This record gives sequence, C-alpha cells and structure tokens, in this order.
Amino acid sequence: MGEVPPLTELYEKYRSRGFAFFIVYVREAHPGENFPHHASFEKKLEHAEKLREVENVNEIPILIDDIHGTTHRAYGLLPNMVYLIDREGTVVYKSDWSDADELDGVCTGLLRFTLGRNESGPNSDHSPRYFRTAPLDSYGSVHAREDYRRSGEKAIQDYLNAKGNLPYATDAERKKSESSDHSGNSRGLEESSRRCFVTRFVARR
Amino acid sequence: MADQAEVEKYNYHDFVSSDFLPFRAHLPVGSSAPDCHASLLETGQPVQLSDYWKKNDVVVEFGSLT
Repeated sequence: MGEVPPLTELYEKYRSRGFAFFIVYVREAHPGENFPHHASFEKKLEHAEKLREVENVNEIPILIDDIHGTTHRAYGLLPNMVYLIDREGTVVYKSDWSDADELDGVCTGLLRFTLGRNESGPNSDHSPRYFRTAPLDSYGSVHAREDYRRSGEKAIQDYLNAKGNLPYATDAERKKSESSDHSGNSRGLEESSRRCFVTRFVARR
Repeated sequence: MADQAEVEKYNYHDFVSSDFLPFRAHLPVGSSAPDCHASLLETGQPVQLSDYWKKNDVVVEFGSLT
C-alpha cells in the first residue's frame, strides 16, 4: 500500500476533530516471491504484522479482514481504496488510490460543511444527504513502487501485464498496453495514472 | 469445496484485476457504507465500523504489504 506516513500525519491532524482512521489489511495485491498470496488466515495475520513493522504503523489501528475478503468485497476489491464515511454512515468521498493531499482537503471540506450545517440547523439546505460527485483525473508516479519491489520481480511483471486493463486505466494506457511488449523493466510503473471520485460539499438547490 | 475455491480465487497467486467491482458505480458517493466485519490486529477484537461512524467521521484505507 502507499503513503502510510502522510496518512499518519492526517491522523494526527484530524483525530482531535472527531475523525477516526483505520487501515484495513486485505489480500496481497501483488503476490511475489517474497510475499506470496495468503494460504491461510494465520499467514494473513503474519503479513499484517509485517506491514505494521515495515510501514511503521504505530498510531492508526489496523483492521484485518477475514480470509474470504468479506469487507474488501463489500467496498469494491480494489487494492488501495480510500473511503471517508460521515456520521450518518454515508460515503462522502472515495478514491481508488490513496492520495493524502486530496484526502486532507476533503476532510477539511467535511469539517466546514458540518460546521455550516450545525449553525443553520439540521433541516437546512446544508443537509449532507445531497452530494454531487465529480471525477477527477490526476497523473503522477505510483506511490507503491517500493511495495512492488518488496514483493519481487514477479509482482512487477504481473502488474505490467494487467495495467492497461485496470478499471482506472486511461485510454492512452489501454492503447499502450495493447501495443507494448512489456520488456520487463519497472520504469512503466512511474507512468501510471489514477482516477478518483470526490464529493463536493454543496447543498442541493 | 466451493468455499475453499472461493477463498483461493480471492487470494490470487498472480495480480489480476478481473474481480475488481466497477469503482464508479459500486458504493457511489452518497450511498450508505456497508458495515465492516473485521478484527483489530492488535487484540483480535471484532470491530464494527458503524460503532465508530456514530461518533466520528471515519477514514478507511485498504491496503496490503505489496
């Protein structure tokens, strides 16, 4: 997974403002020679402990999903999704990839929105039941390159083979995937892109 | 052993994205979040996320080692 230190910074920033943070440990996204798939729940526990150790997750609680991936399935099965859920149990932000800067902005937006609602009363137009969603494209390096290398060359190769078919692949990536021979180096990982979905905290007209 | 087969399919040996649910359509913003049935790594204690979102705004990041 990507970006544990920035997530920890957000945890420190928002914990006193009524936010709870969790990391849900799921299946190994990119099984490789060093960290293969989970053959048992015991192995899953072992890997989760390793995640805590190597990513230095000391503050944010790690939840471990069951071996069936029940929670992971319920949320969509992507490997590094992020969700923000408000106090009515409503999804107010989701991203198919961890982006701490963006999440920071969304948390601040939710705080402001909640403040506005509280000041104008629960039946005002600021009710958080109304959302507009907007796709947001951004381009950058994949944060988790270290993760792939940690797992082994096989994991990198598997990713490159699948990349153009990923649900968040751009058209350019799809074309590239169709024409590329994947020569086996990992530079391609830097060219990945992502697409996420952001709530804009706007009242219904 | 259909159950075992499902477990093996979920915990794939090789990265594939064929079981990813459509991200835009699945659990869209504004929908109710499903409760979570997971346990705390630290203690093994079962956790329901709904217990937290009654009191807190909740950030959930999914991840693994690789």
